[in-house]
Amino acid sequence: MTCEEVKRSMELPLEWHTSDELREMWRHIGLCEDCSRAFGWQFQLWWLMQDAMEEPPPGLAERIMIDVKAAQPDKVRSLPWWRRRKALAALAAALAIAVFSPVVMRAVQSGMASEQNVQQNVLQGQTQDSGVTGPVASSFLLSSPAEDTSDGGFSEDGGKGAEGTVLGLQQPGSFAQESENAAIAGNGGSDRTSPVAENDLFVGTQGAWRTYAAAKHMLVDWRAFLPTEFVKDPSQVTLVLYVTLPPENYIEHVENDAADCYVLEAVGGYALYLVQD
Amino acid sequence: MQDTRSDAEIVQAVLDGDANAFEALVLRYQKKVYNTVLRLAGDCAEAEDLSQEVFLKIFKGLSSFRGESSFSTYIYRVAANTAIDALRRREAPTVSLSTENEEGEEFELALPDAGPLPVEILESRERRQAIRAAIDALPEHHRAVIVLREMDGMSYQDIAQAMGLTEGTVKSRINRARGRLRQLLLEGNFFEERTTKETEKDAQAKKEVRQA
Repeated sequence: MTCEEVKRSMELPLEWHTSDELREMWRHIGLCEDCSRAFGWQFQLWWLMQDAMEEPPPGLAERIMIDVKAAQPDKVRSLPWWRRRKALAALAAALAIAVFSPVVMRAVQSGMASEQNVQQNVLQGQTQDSGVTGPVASSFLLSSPAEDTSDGGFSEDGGKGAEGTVLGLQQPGSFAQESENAAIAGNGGSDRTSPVAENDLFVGTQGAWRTYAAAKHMLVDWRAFLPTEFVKDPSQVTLVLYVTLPPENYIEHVENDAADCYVLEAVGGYALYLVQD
Repeated sequence: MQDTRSDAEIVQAVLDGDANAFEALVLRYQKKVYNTVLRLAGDCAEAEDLSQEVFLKIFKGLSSFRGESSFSTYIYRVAANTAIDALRRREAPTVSLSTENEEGEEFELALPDAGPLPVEILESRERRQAIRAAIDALPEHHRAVIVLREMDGMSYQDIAQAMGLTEGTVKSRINRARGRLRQLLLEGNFFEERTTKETEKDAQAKKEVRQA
């Protein structure tokens, strides 16, 4: 190793070097008076400071994880609101999904399938025809939604359908129904023995409301984060979608005169609320 | 068992909803985070609380981590800022070793020798305590940069970004901090200074090695 090489190496944090490189550097510094004068103390101090590091107190990692897990619901927090009145919110949301997916949805809709039906599905492990296909990231579901062969809901063609295509989008009610099915389904053809896996969250019902979490992506009840200053009644919420890209990526696509769009930062992405006037 | 995934992969797993994956990052960085905040805050109990605070901040802000810097840099930046904020809140008196001229400008201390110190003189435990004490005795602005550089392995550029300083200022502060640490260790008799005779003897030995 030459003096010039030592000089260049000493410009970088010493931690970035391999132990062999460090040995070579130290050897050179030990033999070269100029380098010893220039870098001897720098090198030695690094070693001394590394050596002086203390072990963290026992159990620190566990205590941190307790804090982290306790803080999980707080991860959903309000962003500055986008309160937009734009055209065809549901369509736009679907466009956003088609174009910018992967998407995880936990759609909610009043007046959807009866609780009995839902519970029956859960208990029997039946896969209903789900409208959620291609664009939904399979990793977010418990089994690949591509196994669903329904033509309802979202287009399999992903972004292709985005240009003014209806994408098989149905009325909000039926969309939510499909999403709900997708959320609890995902068992068709999979090796799951139960339709409700460990990370599935069946939030439950409240009156006519049913909420479901798709796999592990979302573990909080969105109702706890309703923009109450604008939304007085949960029944105003047409649907809730979870998308992984920041709102600026799709907000311009949400054009709707009939509904307002609100965006919340959520676990691993963003929750898009469409709220009827 | 050590998690072999990269930081980026673990971060993505957490963002995908697997909060337990965060533990791998905690285990990977807890020692450095703890030591960073310990050296900056100077109190074990507070360092523990601050370490928890650091990781909690990181967890909560994970979705806003854009990957513009490495994840380790991001963690150390949060750790340094958290500790510095805590210090400011506490307004603890710090030992000022700032050397200023009559115009109030800082200038570099003249050091007797920039070469290595004979650390083998001390037992390792004493040596570690001496180093910790010397670091703790540095003024805050020097302590922060030297800890980020030598303990956390951050580049000058990353430290500059983290602390809102220019790269030149960071280099200058690090050099001064190194010099002051050396001086503190010598003044504190932590290390015995070599005698001229010993130095000459060493030089002769080195010369012989080179010739061989």
